[in-house]
Amino acid sequence: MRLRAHNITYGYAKGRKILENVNFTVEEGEVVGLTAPSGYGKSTLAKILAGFIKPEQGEVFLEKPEKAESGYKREPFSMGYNPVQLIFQHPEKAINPKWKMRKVISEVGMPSAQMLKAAGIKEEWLERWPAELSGGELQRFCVLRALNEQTRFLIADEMTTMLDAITQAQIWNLVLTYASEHRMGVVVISHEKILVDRLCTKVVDLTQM
Amino acid sequence: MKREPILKIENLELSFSQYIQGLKKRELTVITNLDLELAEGEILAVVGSSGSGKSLLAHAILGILPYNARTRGKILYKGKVLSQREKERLRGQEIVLVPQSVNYLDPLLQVEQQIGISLQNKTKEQKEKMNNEILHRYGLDLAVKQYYPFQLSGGMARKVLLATALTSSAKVIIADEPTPGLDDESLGEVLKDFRNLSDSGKAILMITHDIQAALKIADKIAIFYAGATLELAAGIDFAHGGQGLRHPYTKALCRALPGEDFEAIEGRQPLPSELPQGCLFSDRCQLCTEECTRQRPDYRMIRGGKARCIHAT
Repeated sequence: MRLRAHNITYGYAKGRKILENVNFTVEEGEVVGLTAPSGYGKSTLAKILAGFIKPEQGEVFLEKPEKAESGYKREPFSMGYNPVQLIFQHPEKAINPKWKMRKVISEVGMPSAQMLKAAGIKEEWLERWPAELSGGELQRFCVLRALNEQTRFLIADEMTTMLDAITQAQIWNLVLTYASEHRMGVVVISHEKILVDRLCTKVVDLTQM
Repeated sequence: MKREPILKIENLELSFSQYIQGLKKRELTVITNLDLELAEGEILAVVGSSGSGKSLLAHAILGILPYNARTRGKILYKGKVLSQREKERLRGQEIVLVPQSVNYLDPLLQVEQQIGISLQNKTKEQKEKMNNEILHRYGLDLAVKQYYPFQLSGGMARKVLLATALTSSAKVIIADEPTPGLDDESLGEVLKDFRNLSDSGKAILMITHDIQAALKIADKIAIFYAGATLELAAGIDFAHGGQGLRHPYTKALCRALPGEDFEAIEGRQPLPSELPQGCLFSDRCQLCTEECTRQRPDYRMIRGGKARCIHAT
């Protein structure tokens, strides 16, 4: 599989385009870093790739590289399971505060006990409300619910920015192990250069596009 | 050379009373043993994971805790214990806060007015000039002055929060997570500003989980875990894979950095409702012995720093 954004243009205010004719590709099993100073549209591109924003111009494709005609254009806001999963910086904003964690995690099917253990999630947390867990713990749930067989690409938008170094290492080890086992593509958006260099096989600078 | 601390915190304890069922209440202790000293011209970084009580520390100093919070221990400013009334008088004048969340910006104020809050006794021209200067320094376009908070990106909002505090004339600056979301260039700029401010005599308490940023500028680093200070170290102690560090938790933290081994230990920080009776780190510690689980170790001097561990050397 390949995720390809073609000639994307988008702007929030009239006459001011944040993204202009941007092309971006991720192959399966690849870990690509996306860097730029703040305000250059990293998060916007992430939302367009995941289909949460409709670009003014341009398209997003999911395709098999060996036969391009097998690919399909991903319409924004499509129904069904989204093979491009986006993980945000603030897990507390991505979790329904009125659901217990068991319901949150099993929305797309309960993960195996083995996966729960790998993610460092304790059985008793499942009976808690989101407000009773810390940011690092909630982020594990957000990551784990996205690590589904149907997920082909994971976009981590400052996924571990708010977390301490130990939790950060725990979560990234989980994601990278899963990604290499399942040939999942990963896009890493982060300001931390050392982290991007450590994780990624390729780094794209949005200011150079 | 020993400087007299401008801000000193002695054995601070903080708890919340919570209703659990009906009228049944419980006390939830979130900060157990907190000791800090901050001198003029010094940058002290408080480093800890989320949920360790870092932000509550800032709120305790400024007296903006919610009504159901109770504190014990002492907060001293210039050698005197701070009362709630004193805190209210000092905050915004002598002690300022750089808040953690971008939600602290007034949604109905344009950037220009927002920064203007801390420039109240300046003339219009001076205000205008300082406004332009600080925006320019952080690489923000002058058009940003007319923006409302919802029009700002995360990093831009962060810069506005900083600008608001950095233009004030306070003696103590408490910066609660000032760095997330900043790009490298602005980060360098912000850290340089902090250094300059402290060199001009201000005391800066930088609350962060970003050790890399803390290491770049802080004179001393206090390590926070589950509501207690576990170690007080100098930046140099983190060099060469953390050889100079004292506490097992700090060593593990250092090894987990992406620039180091990127290796994580298992487990997690205990929640306030499940704090162990003994050392707070005992359940994840390799050096843990039976003595560790019996009672909380004291904060003791070790090689010019401090650590709360009986095995630390």
